[in-house]
Amino acid sequence: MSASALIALLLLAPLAGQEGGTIRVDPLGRQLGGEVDGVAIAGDTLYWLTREGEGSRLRRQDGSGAVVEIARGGVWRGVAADRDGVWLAEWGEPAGRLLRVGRDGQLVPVLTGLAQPEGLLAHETGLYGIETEPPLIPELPFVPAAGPHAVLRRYRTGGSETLARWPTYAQPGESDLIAVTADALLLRQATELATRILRIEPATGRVEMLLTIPGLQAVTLAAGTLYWTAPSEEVSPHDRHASVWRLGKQGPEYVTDWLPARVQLVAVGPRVFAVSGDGVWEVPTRLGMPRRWRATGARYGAAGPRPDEITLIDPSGADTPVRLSVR
Amino acid sequence: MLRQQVDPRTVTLAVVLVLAGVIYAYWKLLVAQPPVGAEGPRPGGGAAIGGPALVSGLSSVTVETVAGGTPGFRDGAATLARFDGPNALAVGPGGRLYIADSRNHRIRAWAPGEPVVTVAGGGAPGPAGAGRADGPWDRARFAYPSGVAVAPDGTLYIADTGNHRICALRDGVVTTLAGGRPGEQDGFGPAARFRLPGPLFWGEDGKLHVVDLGNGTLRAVARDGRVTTLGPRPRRLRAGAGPIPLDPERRLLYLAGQNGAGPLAETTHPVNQFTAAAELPGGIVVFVDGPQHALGALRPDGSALLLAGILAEGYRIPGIRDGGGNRATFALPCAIAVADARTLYVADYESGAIRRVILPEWLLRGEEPPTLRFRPRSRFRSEGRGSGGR
Repeated sequence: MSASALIALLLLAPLAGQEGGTIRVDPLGRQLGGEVDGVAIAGDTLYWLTREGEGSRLRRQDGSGAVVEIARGGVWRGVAADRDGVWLAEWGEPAGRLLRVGRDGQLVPVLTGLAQPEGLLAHETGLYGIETEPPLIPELPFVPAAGPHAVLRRYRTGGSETLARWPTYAQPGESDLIAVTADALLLRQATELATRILRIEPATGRVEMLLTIPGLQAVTLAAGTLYWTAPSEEVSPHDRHASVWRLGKQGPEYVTDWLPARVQLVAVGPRVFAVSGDGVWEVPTRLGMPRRWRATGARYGAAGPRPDEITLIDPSGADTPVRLSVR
Repeated sequence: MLRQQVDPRTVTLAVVLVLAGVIYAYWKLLVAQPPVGAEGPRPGGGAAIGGPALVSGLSSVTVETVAGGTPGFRDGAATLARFDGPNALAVGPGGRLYIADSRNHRIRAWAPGEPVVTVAGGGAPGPAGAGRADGPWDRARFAYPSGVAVAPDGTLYIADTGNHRICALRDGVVTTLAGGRPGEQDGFGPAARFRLPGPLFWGEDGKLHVVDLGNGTLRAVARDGRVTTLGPRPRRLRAGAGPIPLDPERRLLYLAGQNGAGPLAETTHPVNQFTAAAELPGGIVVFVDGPQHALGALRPDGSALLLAGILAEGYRIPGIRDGGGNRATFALPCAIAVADARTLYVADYESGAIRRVILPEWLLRGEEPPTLRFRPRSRFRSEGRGSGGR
């Protein structure tokens, strides 16, 4: 290769992958594809959903490291796995569905007529998901009583149980379940403008707003302590860096700063890690600087499948998931 | 060794390519932005070939956040205060602004130079705090109040939307004026029924008018609590109103009126979205378009102007950026109130921000937007403050 060709290639390299590749950007520079919409771990097998343009792609990695594509094409916004199988939350018109993934990859509708379910979570107490009902009066989504409502449901074969219902954002966003505790479920609702952390008591249907944070933020629960990201307190007022906070007995505690914006928080036992396309950091347990564990191109992480392990996922599909020991 | 292998022509080519890249990046990032200073929406709008056409507001309109900006609940200094889902505004005596803080189940108030205070409602903010109670201002409970109006005597009327009732706050005490159970029935006080009453405004008959959202009707409440039905909720805009020149095919139009709805007339164009509007002296109607995150104006001749916000065909650009109308962004603006002929307040529902908008005088005089003119450099110098003495 001549030197001029090499230089031309280097100059054109930044454009690669933006048109025709797996990561697409819209004319305003926002990424359209390659987002991870859900991760589930059952035994030694990892399942994950990525957004590919208008549709989704479900893949699986077993203990041998081999990656198999199970299904693609539908609009899936949540995956969960338990002893009964693998479940997908599907969006559709006019209504969404809960699908069960068969061993041969066949998708079997279990529940239909759902209000666009997402954020599935399988727990020993049941399979949970969040749905968003359209506004009662479509022209007025900003009147909470008449606007869109979020619904927390527990799904069973042949039906579902509504645990709570509350007015939600009028703007499109994303919702996921963070954890199931002894008496409540913790839930994250986020848009580009703000993120809410809700505590919901299934027994009473009581919905308590624990926190509202500016911007699209990450949340995790580590050994019973809630951690979340927020705009940086020290680096810049803009969205280029993030800080991490936790809910202590006296209220919110500032834990660390200087992390890249849009990190994802992963709890491994009582420890918390921040994962972004720039690397993996351990969040300190008391005020301090984050400790960098590894440089990685993976933008998404999930705890497991083994203890003291994080599985790193590159949503573009360029690399297979990597298991990082944090022992 | 390198000098022996690399052809000078290759180096020249590399330099040229790098320079071309720098120039392209400069043009792309700095030059190819919505034109700053160019007044008025570009005629026709619509998507240009090869990408979305950005249509921005007017640089001579000023937008600033005066309170809030992050969803939540906090009284105190305006810059630190937080609202959650503010969706109705009313200006009271002395220029005090009343805000229906719907997701906090409270009515808040703010005036320039003063802190944000809660004037009615208590309990936990957020979904768990919805309730229903009359009584002293801090013991009253509401469920997603979504309408406010101030009477000349200072009484504040509140649409307690989730409780299907209209309340009055007088001398620090909240009482139920009408309604309380869902339904559609005229009558006195608690015998009357609403279904999700929303925006409030004063009718020409001196009665409090209520947009009964759930029933799709316009109701009137007299001071003694008698409720009557005025008719179906108006769905058309005044005659001759033109569309925002964003997309001629879709013809975006709006209902108009004070405090969310009001005196309306027919138009030949279809209505797409409505949030709220208010009428200024001289017959100019200003309106907010929540789904498009924009502020617009309709002039008496029927022409429309995009005052503030950035519209892109196929894209929505929400945010709470302050500045000129051509740079400012909104996050689901859904309420508007007029403070004086040039000053408006707008409530941003999703960001929890209260914005102040200063309109240009030429708009109120009924003139056309000034066009961008390139002036001699010497003139810029003579205007600069730092060049005094020349």
